[in-house]
Amino acid sequence: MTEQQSTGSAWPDPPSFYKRYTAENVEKLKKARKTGIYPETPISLPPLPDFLLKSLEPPTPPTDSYKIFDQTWQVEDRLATLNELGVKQLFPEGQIDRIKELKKLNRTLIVQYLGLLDILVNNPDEFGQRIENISTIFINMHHILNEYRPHQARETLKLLMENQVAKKRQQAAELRRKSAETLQMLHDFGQEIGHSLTDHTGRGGEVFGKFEHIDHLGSNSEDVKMSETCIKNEGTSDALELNVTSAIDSIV
Amino acid sequence: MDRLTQLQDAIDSMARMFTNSIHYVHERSSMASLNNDIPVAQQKVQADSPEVFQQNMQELATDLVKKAKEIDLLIEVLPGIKNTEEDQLRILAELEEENRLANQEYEDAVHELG
Repeated sequence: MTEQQSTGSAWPDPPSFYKRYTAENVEKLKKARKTGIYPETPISLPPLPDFLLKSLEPPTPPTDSYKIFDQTWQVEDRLATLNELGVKQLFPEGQIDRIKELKKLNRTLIVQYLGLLDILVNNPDEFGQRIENISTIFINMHHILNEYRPHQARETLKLLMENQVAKKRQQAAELRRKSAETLQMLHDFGQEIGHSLTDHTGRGGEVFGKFEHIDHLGSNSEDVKMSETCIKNEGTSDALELNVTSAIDSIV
Repeated sequence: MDRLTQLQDAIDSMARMFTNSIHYVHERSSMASLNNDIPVAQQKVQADSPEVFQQNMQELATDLVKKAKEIDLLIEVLPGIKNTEEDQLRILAELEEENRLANQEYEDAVHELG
């Protein structure tokens, strides 16, 4: 991005079309767009060559093919058939058994090469035909392979989807298993607490029974924990019973 | 590397081997006598000795045949080449359905655990 201090610059100048867009011309263009009439007389802006007003409009986008850096590209990308390329098509039309055709072409290739060697030995001047045959065979083989590409893309898609399905199923199973395990653990904790309470108070059995009921509600394991801690903190059995009943009432 | 590209590369190298072999035979051959009476007087500078020449020619020929066999093998193992296009589209639709079901199952599992 460095520019020399002298009058030259590292990069070529932009095309001089921008000089056409003077304020006056832009006004004329706006008016012409409204009326829909473009004057035919060319506008001259020395030292530029004359130009029509209509050329100030932006060009329409290409629909068929366009050129970038001297290369022509198609707007619609598709594989050209062999007829369009001017190459003889050696395999039958429509649906073909790719494996068989490719193998046939492969064999023909070797045979043609032998022919080429023979001709070079006997009549070296007639190599042109043989070489043309060999090149046709190559182009045909590559064409079959190019047509196979979309097929292969679909195959890859199929594999990816199969992977996804397997992964999802496995994750769902894992999830279920883990949550069953966790519930089991909480259930065991509840039992332990129940047992330790039976050791301390006579009413532990009741409490234990109520705990079992709470456990079976499943997703309310949070509340089970809360009521457990409440019970641990209270000392007397009366307060204990009051707490447990209020907890159960809040859950139910 | 995916098989299709491998196959394309193999075919291209086959073409290269064609030209290489002819070129070698052309460059490295020794002078031959046209008539049994006139012996070979001038030797070519780049000529290989006859034994080496024969050996190399053998090697080139075997390489060529090996390459052709390789191409055959690669053609065989092109993935899914047995399915026609309609088959593929059908299989893809089925897989999409299966995918949706699996998704649904997963969501259900998550949902039922709160």
